[in-house]
Amino acid sequence: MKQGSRMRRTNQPLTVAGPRSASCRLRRHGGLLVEALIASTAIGMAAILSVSMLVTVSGNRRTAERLLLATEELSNQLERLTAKPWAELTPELAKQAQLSSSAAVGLPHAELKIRVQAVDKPRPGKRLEGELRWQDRGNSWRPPLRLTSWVFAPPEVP
Amino acid sequence: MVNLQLRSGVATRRRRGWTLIEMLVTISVMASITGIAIKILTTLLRAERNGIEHVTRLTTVSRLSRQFRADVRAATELQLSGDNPQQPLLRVTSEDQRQIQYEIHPQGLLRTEKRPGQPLTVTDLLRFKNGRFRIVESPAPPRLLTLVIETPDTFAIGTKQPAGDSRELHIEALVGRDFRDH
Repeated sequence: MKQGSRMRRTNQPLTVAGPRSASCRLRRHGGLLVEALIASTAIGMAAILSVSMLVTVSGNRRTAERLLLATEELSNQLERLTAKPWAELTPELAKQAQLSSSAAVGLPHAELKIRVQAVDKPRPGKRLEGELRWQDRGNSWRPPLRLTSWVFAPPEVP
Repeated sequence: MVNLQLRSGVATRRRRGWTLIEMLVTISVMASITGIAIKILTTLLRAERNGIEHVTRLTTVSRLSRQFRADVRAATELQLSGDNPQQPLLRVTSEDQRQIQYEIHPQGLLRTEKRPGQPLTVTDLLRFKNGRFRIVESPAPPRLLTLVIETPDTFAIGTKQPAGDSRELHIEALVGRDFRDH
């Protein structure tokens, strides 16, 4: 191997090496700028993609967090209403339900609606239908979250 | 001829290596590219870590909410720790004589359940990073318990948590709702 490399070195004509190395050097000089531009473009694209991905993920996370908050808020509202005595549980009372302060802060422009409807099956009772909606990204309304709860009449009440 | 040879010799000697300016420009460009790439990578890694924590938190809150409501609704006896930090946060005796207690653990909230006639205790650790808990009872009947979970705000993805910024989540449950007679 050593002999071969020596042979190559000795066999290379000096006249050919001059112009070739000069052209190579010229290419390298131009290559520095082009390579830097390509690398910068690639990094820039990666940065744009990762930023857009981060924004999307952040938005999805916020949506999931709000959904959890809304689920708990609506569950709490229904729990509070089911705690009321049977006679007091009326549609008028349900209309007075107000959002808690944490939900009002965490859910932008949230609207709460609770309906109380009398049902006969499977037993006489009242069905509580809760609906909560709020605004998401771009001030667009999210599909409302709905939960339902039942309260059955005490045995002595027909 | 001699002068020309000398000039071309000087010219080739100049072209052969890198000038200081070229080296400085190259190093600065490479340094900035490497810096941006490292910044992107660390941001993505932090975002992934935050995302995992976030998903874990959401599932834990859902699990805790379901479990807490079921325990409180099935309670026949109930004892709160009040202001005593040595006592468990909540002790519940259910209708089927299960002894359930919630206590604060360094990693979150620990739920233990002892079933009558069974030697084993079922434990469930609900992990919350930097979570704080308290239970508030309604001042007037019916008895309504509110579990307040205070956790750091995790909306800002890919960034460090803002110090002192936290949010509260309330889980309310009616004591003994399962066998309540209106």
